[in-house]
Amino acid sequence: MIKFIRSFPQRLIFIYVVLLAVFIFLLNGRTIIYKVQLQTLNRIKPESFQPLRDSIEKQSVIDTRKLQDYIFYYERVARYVQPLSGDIFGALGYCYYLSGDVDRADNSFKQAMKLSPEYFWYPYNLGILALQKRNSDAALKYFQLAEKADSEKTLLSIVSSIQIYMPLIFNRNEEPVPWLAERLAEGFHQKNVLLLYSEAFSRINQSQDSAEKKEADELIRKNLSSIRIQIF
Amino acid sequence: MKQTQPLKLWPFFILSFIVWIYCFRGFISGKLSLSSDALAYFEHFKFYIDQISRGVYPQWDPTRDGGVPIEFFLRRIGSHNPLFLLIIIFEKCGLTFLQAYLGFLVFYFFLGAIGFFLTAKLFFKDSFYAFISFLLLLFSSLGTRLFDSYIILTFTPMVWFFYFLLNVIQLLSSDQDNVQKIKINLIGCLFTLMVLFNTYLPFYFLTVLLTFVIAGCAVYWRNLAIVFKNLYRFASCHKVFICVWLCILFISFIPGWIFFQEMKKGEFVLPLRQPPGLSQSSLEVDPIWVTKWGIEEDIVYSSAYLSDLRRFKFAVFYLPVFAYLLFFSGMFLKFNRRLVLLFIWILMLFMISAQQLPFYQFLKTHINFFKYFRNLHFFLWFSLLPIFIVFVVEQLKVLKEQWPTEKIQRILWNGMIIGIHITFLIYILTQTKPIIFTFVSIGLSLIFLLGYLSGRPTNQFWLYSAVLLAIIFEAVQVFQFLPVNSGVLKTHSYRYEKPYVKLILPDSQEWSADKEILQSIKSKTNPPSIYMGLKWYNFLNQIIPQENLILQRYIDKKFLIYDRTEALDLKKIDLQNLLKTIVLGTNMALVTAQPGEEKILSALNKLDSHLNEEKNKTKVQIVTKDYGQLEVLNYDVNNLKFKTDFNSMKFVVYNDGYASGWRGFIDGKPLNIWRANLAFKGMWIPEGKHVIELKYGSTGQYWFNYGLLILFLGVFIYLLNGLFKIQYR
Repeated sequence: MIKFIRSFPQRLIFIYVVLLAVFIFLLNGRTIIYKVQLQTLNRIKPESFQPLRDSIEKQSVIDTRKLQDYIFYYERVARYVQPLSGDIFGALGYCYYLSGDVDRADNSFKQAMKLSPEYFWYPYNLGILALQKRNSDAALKYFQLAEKADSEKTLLSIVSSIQIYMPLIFNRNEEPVPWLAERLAEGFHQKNVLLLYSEAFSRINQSQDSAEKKEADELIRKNLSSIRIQIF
Repeated sequence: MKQTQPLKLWPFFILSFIVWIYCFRGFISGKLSLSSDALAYFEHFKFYIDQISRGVYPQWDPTRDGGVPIEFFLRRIGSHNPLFLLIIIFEKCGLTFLQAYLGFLVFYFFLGAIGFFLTAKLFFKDSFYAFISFLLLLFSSLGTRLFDSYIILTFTPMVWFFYFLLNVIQLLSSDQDNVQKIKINLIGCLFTLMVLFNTYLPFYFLTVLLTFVIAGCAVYWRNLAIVFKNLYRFASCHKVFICVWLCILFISFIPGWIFFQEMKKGEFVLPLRQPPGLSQSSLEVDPIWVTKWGIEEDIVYSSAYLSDLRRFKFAVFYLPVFAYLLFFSGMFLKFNRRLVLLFIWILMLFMISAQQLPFYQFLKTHINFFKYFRNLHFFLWFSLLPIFIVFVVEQLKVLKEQWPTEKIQRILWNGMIIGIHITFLIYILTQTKPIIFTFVSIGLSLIFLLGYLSGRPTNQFWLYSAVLLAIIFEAVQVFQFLPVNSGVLKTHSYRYEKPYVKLILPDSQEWSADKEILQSIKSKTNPPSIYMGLKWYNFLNQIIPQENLILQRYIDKKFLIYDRTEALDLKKIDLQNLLKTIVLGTNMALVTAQPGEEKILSALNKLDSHLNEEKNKTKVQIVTKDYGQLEVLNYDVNNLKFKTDFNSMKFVVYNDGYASGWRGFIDGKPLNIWRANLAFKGMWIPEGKHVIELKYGSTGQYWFNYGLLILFLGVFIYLLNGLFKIQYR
């Protein structure tokens, strides 16, 4: 070991360590890397967000390859951009959900909620995912959190998300804010309904009657089929 | 490695090439489309080879953007390279041009790979390490750039240059009498230099060479003193040879030099990439182009894709996982001189080509040719990639040399190798979305390294096979994703694939004019869309709305016969007047005088006003297929010959770009060609029967280019003959 330490300056690894130190401390390496990563993101950015836009507005189905491109892009955004914000994970979670990867979608929405606790749609989506998993207690918790969310701050977050959410809204002919507010109001209403479902389902879960449970399960399945995850 | 018995390597090479061809079968067969710059280069080759096959050395392309000189595109490909003639041979063998071209590209890449093997063999003095280098290069993503870039055109001659250069250095370092070998290798250096300097940007190569020289001098300065001493002695004894060598090299610079001078005149522009405002040459690159994408962006971009190899696409820098394992395994080694040389070389090239680092900015300010670099990231592909491969293989060599003999130490070193592989495996599993053959390659790498370093497998066949499999398994799977992510089915013809050297005259005299358009045109409205073209054609292209193809419709009327002319001052262009001529077809050509010709122009304008006073209000006459007074006699890309029989003096506008290189003749006597309607050629033609001839470029220039083709071919044949003699003497 002593022999190795003595010969350290003659070894290649020594040069790498020195160069790394020069790069980080003398050349302000972190800033350089950040700049480079942003340039890279511009190149990775999908050519068009129209399919994703259509999926949000018209609930149309996205081609799998295109969806993978969006996931790839948002994953890199989440990796490179600092400081992180909820919209990045919101968009990522939405794409994961569309691709059928519910676990990753769940994690992303949790991350998004952590970064933007006042945003309505993240706990709302988490509640829906919990209901889909028949986890009524968790759903109840998330819908209660959604109830506490601030609609004004939610709207403000959307319009200030210039890089993530606005490209998904921007080409609308009409003013985006009334449209967003309308969707949000619908979301709040929907949340109230889902909150009631969750409470009821939670109570039924505690009962011993299996027939009642089955009936409740069927009811939830039917109602959930028309409810979709939304990010704004 | 112990050479117990010589192993024939050619089956391994053939197998490697077959696997490579299999990986890119979709692109090689032409089913999948070429992409990006590769498409543009296909066009340049197609045009050039078509014309050369017809016995015409092209100087002008009348089909591109209103007519452009072709020199820029020929300098891009380095038109005098005799190996391009292979495309003609392939075509003569019955292949289509696309098949012949793709076959040539593959051949050229394989030639580069073989050159790399031979260079590595000289460097390592061992075939095994050279073979590993060859495989890593062949199965890196450099090969993918055949189908989306033109890097290979620089890479192959550059590799061969270094092969000949290393040979010369080694021969000059020894005391043996190697005169013939030195001469042949110097001719090899000459030929590759000629090919490299024949392109419009030899500066990439010059930078690589310069950094090599600096690194070499820094590490081997004592040995180089002997080399230079012996070189001086050789030059003193072979003065004629050296003089001829230098003369030929000088001659090969001439096309590039003339081209650079031409581009300084400002007659031609590259509007998409030129910096705004004044620049010394049209070849200067807007800094935005450079700072948008450098080598560091290429690395980060590639790393994004390498974390999920299923997304592998064009321009992603990929090296088989085996290379990284060699790199990490050698990180703890004591460095030797060769590692230092390679390291300094890599470091210098990296610092030069990383535009975010201050070194690049410094060099750009102080070194003139840095302003011509548009693609700094190319250094990653044709220099850093091969040097890095040699570096990691050298590490393997050093690892083998430094491998301990004591048992405990050996166990420790084996542990280190295993540890590195396991760490790498954990990284792959946790940080990326791995593909199955990455695991297979890591496993094979571990088995190979442990076995090879302990010296257990003595059978060379198994060693070569093991390393072949460790490298190609992953690469083959990765390359299968390229067509999925970047492959586009070729559904339409590329430019020039359909017959194009035809002068088609319109059927009717009809001139459909859009009067409303005149109201909307006030200044430049369209973004530049021409890559390289004539300055004033580009101006027209930017002011005339593109929606109704007005400019194209105007150009399609190849000949226009005017009765009247008016002077057009380029410093004060009356746009409305100009557009009346181009959009509405008024019977008034706008003629611009070159400096010193103003008085002649004024006199001619007065003369035709006097002669054609009555025809003031009529429309311009379009030469149609059945127009009796003008008949085309001969047409190729450089020349046009036609005869006229007018009843009064006319001003004929030939709607093909005006450039100062055009010369006109009327009945064999010089005829002045004027800039007409801002961007086109015009000429006054008297009444009666006349034969007019228009030619682009001087006869001297034309034959000089042919002479250069013969010179390049001659040097190449001489080189092949010399190499053959050395091999079989």
